[in-house]
Amino acid sequence: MNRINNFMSIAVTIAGLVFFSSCDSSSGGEEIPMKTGVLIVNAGNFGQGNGSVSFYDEEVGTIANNVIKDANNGSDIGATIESIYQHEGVGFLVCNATDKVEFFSVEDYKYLANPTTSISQPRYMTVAGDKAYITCWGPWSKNFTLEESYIAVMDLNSKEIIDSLECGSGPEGIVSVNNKLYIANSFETTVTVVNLSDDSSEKIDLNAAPQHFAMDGSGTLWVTVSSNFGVHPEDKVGLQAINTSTDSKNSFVKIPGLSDDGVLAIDGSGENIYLLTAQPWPATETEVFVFDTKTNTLGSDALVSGENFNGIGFNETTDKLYVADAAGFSGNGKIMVYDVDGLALDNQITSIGPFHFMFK
Amino acid sequence: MKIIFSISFILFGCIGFDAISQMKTVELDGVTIEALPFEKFISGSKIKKSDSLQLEILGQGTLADYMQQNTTVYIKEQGNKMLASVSFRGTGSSHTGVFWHGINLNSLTLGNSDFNGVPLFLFDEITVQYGGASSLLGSDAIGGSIHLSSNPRWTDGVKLQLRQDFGSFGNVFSGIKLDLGNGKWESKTRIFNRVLRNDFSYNITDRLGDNFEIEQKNAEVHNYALLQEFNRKISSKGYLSLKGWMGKNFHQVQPLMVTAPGEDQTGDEIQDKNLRLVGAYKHFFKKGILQSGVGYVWDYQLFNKTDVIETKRLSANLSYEWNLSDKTVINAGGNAKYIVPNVWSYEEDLTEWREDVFLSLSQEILEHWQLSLNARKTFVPFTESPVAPSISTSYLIKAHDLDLTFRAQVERSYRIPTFNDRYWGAQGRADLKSEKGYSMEVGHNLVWEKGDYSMDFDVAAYYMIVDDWIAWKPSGNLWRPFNLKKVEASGIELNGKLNWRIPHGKFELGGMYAYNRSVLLQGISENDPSVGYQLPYTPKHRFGLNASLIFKKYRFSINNYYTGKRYGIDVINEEIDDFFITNITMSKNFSIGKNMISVEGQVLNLLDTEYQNVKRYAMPGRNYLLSLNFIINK
Repeated sequence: MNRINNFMSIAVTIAGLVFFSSCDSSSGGEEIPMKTGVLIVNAGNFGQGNGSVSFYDEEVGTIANNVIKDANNGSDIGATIESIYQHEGVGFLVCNATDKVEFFSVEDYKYLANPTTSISQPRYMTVAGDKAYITCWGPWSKNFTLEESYIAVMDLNSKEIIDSLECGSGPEGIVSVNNKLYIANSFETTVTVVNLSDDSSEKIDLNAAPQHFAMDGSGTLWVTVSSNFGVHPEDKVGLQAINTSTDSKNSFVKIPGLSDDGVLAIDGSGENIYLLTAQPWPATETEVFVFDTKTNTLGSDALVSGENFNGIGFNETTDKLYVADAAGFSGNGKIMVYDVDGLALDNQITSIGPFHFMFK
Repeated sequence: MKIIFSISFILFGCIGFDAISQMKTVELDGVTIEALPFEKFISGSKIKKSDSLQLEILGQGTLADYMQQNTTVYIKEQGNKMLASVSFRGTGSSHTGVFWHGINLNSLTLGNSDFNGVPLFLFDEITVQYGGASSLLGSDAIGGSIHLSSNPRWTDGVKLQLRQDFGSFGNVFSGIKLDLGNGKWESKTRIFNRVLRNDFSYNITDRLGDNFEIEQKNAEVHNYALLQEFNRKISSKGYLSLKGWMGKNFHQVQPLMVTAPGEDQTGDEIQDKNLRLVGAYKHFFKKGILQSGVGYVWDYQLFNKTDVIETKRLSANLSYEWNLSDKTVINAGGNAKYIVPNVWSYEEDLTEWREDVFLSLSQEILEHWQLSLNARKTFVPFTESPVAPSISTSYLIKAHDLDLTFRAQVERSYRIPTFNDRYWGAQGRADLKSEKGYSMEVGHNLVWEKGDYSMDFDVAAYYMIVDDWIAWKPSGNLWRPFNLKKVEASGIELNGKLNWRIPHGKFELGGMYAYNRSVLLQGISENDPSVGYQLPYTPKHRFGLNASLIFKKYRFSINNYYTGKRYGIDVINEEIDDFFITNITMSKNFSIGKNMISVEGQVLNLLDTEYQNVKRYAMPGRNYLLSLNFIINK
């Protein structure tokens, strides 16, 4: 079986080389392409396998849904997509139900291999060296607790899971900084720091449930800490700064109504962090707030607001803000494009549950 | 995004029930069949009853099989013999009441029923009532209602039936029906056990373009149930009946089709246990019928051996049907329910009382012109629930060989929000309003009989609005339910049947067709992109064609059904292919004195159609079933 897989990956690599070389010959010049293409992950409904990827062309202002399915003879992803990642031209889709990681070419959306499947409830990933590190919830325990969470270690060449690392319960966002991994344990209130030189680890205690990371322009690592769907009190949620030299906490800034998913985006300068928030119940409005990392202050007014905001992204190249409206996952969602002043530029209809953005 | 899972669980997690019965006795074919109590008050509604041949062929099947093969109602089956939910006239899965002797089987926590969890073997008759009927049946009967019956036959002596089936993919069914009695009391027993390995194969193309045949795993089903009834004539004026139904349904949750060989096919499993008890006393007075009853329902679901969802209900009902004159009947009554849920996310010690009151008047205005006025209301703590009124009328024209009935009905119906909607953790909202349906329909039925031929042809057209449809959405950082959506449904249904008596047998030909347009008028927010589109998993077209021939000791029948294309939850981009399925059945009976043996063979999905009902859930190709029946004292 392994031999067959190896043969396949060689065949694909060769096919890929032929394709890229033919592209090269037609283009010419050393132009660095602007990142004006936006891949949108539509998570899909749990158990329906209807996750998909859309492509938004920022220059023309058009959207194409199901680009991966269409590029692969109608063969769709067949799962709920949790997150997307790119590394050296390879796109990774981290999927739940069915639990797997799919590999596709960021250039032409063709699948590059069969998915890696020996993995349980994978969430997010990062790359360090020639390995990918994937946060995995592991199987559910009683009353939907998570007692067997882990980090799966994948060899980028063989695309096989070769090892696992320990972490806390419900690991969500993950980043690698200076040969260390920072893992947000969202079912507890800790960040696990793993030193990759010896796989030793320690935990940093936080106010509430950590979700996702962003590194600002001055080298401070920020992590969103949320109530995790009502588990932690609202006055404990916000942004926590971590000093990655000492792995200790710096300042903490309260962000009222910070979204439980804690998704965030950062601009090219690393100065402004964009955050999703919700007005307190019984209001149903969702909003985007900007946090200035230089002054450690949160904007006094929302930059934009609307119903059902679910995801956020920022195109560093063109300074455009992207917000996803998932329509409660009950039907087709939308994406909205804004400039940095919150002026609406465009909106487009996507598939089910638009959530994450990736710029290419 | 973790919310996707928990929301899915709240909304689609499981299965489950409600209370009470009333009846009218009709003599038909020498056997006492009890007309459902509401029928005389709903003469403007389309009602179709199963015939014995349909239930015989599907003896080891489920309510989902029956609905798919014999009605135009759409069943969304998430894998073979997996969770099957109904879409009746374009409504949602919780807009159809499924009743057993007045008990609504729909889960109180989720609001719907698994049609594959209802085995046909236990029942003598299935009645499908089309259109709204909350004015008579209470919550849930917006799109229609389904009634499972097993009625007193006042057996004198012993009657025993043993059934054994062997089918493809490890399908083994064993069942016993035993009727005992002396004409005054009667015991009816139904027991079955069914195991289905469900390891059929399907074809895939992997990411590298290679084709593989995949064996379905993690889709096993194991059910058993016991249904016991005691009926006792107390005098010539009344009888008492006690009915109990206990069952266990275990099924693994069939996973999505794999995208590459070796992909994980392990998954969840669900174990349902139910106990339903009904005691009813019915007394015939000179000018009326008194009906009273008590019921107890226990629904228990264990998810992945760890998480429990449980409800218990106790109910009592009383009603009196008063024949004011030959032409005027009034029915008035009420019921009360005490509900005790046990769900990990609800507050401890949560209990609830619900009460229903109802009043119906049926009047014969002229000869053959029947008019009924009905109203019902449910009282639920914190939740607004409307009065559901209806006007129902029919007019019969009798000609030489022909009976032509015209019908019309206008109705408001409702659905009480589920316990999950109202009490789930900090998210549930006890103050949600009930969903409401406003519907009108017209139809006519033509029955023609001449010599050896008879024909039955029915046309129905309907229009319906479902408003305050509940949807969950994020709000203040938690997902909460809201009365948000509005749906408009309209359509037509045709049913026809032709019978031809031939020497030593008969020939029967049946056809049905339904067109349904079901469109979202208001969505989850002001600019919801799905507005204006057909609802997901609501086919516009369905049709069926059946033929059967009985000749001497032989029987041959063919059943075909077509389900038109559906849209996925992405109603704009995802189309799911239509499918056409053919099943054939052949049987022969051998009589030995008063006893009979029948041997039956079936070929299911004869054309080996590769199809999916729900996208990405594999369904089996051609497969086979062999059935043996031993009937003692037929």
